[in-house]
Amino acid sequence: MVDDNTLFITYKEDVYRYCLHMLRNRTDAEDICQEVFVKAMLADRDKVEHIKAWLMRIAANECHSLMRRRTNSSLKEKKAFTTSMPLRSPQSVEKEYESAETADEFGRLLSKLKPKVREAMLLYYMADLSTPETAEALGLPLGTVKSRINRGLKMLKKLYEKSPESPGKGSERHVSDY
Amino acid sequence: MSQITEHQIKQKMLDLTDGSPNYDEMWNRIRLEVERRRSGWSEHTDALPDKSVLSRARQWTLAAAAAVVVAAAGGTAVYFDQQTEVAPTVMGQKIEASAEAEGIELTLNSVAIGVKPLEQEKQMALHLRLTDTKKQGFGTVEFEQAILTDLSSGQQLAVSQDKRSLFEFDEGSGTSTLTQSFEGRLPVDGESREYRLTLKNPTYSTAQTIDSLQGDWTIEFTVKGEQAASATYTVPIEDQATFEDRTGMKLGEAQISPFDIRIPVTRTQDSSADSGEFMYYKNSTLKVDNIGLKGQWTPLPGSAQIQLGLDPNAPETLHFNLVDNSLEDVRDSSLTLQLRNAVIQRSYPDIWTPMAPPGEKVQSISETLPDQNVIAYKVKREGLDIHVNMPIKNDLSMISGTRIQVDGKTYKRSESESYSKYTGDTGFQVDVFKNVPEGSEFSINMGTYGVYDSSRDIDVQIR
Repeated sequence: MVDDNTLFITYKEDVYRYCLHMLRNRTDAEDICQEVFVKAMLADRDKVEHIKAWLMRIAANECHSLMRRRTNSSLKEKKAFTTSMPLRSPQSVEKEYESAETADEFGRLLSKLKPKVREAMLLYYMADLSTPETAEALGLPLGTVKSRINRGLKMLKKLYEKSPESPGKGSERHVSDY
Repeated sequence: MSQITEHQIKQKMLDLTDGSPNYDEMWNRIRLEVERRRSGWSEHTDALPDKSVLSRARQWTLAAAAAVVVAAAGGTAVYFDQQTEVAPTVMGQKIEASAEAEGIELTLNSVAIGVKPLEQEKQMALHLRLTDTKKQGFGTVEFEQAILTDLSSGQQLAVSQDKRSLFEFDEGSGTSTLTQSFEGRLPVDGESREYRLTLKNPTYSTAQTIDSLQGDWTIEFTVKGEQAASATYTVPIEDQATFEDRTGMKLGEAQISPFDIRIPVTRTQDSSADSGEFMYYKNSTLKVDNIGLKGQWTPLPGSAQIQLGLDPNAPETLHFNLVDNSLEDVRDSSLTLQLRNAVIQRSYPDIWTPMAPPGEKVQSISETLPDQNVIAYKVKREGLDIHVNMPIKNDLSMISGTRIQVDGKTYKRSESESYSKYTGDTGFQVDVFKNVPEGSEFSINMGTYGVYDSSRDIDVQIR
């Protein structure tokens, strides 16, 4: 079994980048990344066969949990805002992320994918998990994961063609919902 | 049109930035937190805020602080072993009734009745906890449905606030807790009513798995109106001289419930919206120990826009929502009211700026008002309507909206169609005037607006 420090050094970037591009907020990503490693270090890893897939599963679960909470509180914040500040409209999470968290154009395109599709894409392409490992990490049937990856691929190709990176059309606005 | 291949997408995904976080600092925090959890130490609920009421970010700060104290003091008396049974906080009426199935014990600790945040309707909060009786290592547990039935009428009460029955696991205490609120027919003082709570089919997660369990967890209990409402109480605010001096207003007693804290504000001098003086504070924060709760001043004096769900004729009140901040028991907390950015009313009803009859092409007009605020209007006609667009800086707040005059007749903006947007330090206001006739003499007035006065910032110690 790898020791705690090796575990962190080996997988910190995969876990953190996954959290960052799922949550689109640096502070949240740091919090969740830390929680993932704390849970992993406290768990009995002896019987874990595919440590990276297992770690990414914890990360996926933690991100799910936070995004659900964020969705609930965002609704509350919206209501509070409308009731108290008729003139002000806070920057959306999407906008905040786009301006502050992703300097790279491809990250911005990725953020336009719905989280369900994005998480499959990140695990498969960025964390380099196999499709069965991605399915295992997300707790989904293999067919569903393959379908989401294909869908994500098509959407990214389409978005890329329209993006400033590509000499095609201007960017298309799409706000993803969780 | 350029094409991108799957291989190129994969490469771009592999090259995605991590934004260069400080991994060393992250590792230190992780190490400290792991040490803390492995040591079995946790914060004493009497000495520090209950972990379950704090956000994850705050938990991290606390956790790191706790580990440092343990390392320095070798485990002082402010901590206790996590194996110790954590006594649940009782807010309102203590119930302590349980139901067990599939190794999960559901306990109803207590019930509390009070008015919903920002509203006058009452709700009943059920404080629930789960015990993992077979030590299966449950983390998050979410039930598919929560049903509360009034046994005397047979009617189900509606879930209010958060509809989900999601128990949050707190590593510190080793318990999962949920406060679920219901609204409907609730017992009044001197009355008792019997209820049946049923939670159905949970999904749960452990470190390795996500699975589900089918079953009902049912608890029957009696609520005594007076006891359940006892979690609502008042605290007088003694230190008011400076506040009164700076605002011409008085603070009433703080009304504290498990759901929110309300502080009535009353005008003692002629400082109403019509007098051109102090109106309200733009930013209010209630510090509950070290946690800041953002407040709302309702109804906003002078605001023509009706605040959603609020009675525009209700007495002015500062509201602080405890539920949204995952707080409920503030009985042992210090309370400090922080008021910032007083809004001072400005209005120049006689200053009308002439403009040409609006057409489809935008015309720009500007006016320097006596307080040296320069207002720039962009006006155009869209069919029967006239649109007025104004850039607004952060140090100015529109209150009534602009007014226009056409051949001597005054028109007010449509409250439903006018809108505003802010993009940081600046923003814009678009006032829409419906069905404005063609005419020869047009002019525009800024209406009532507010400017901020930070010299009136004040802290008021409540407790």
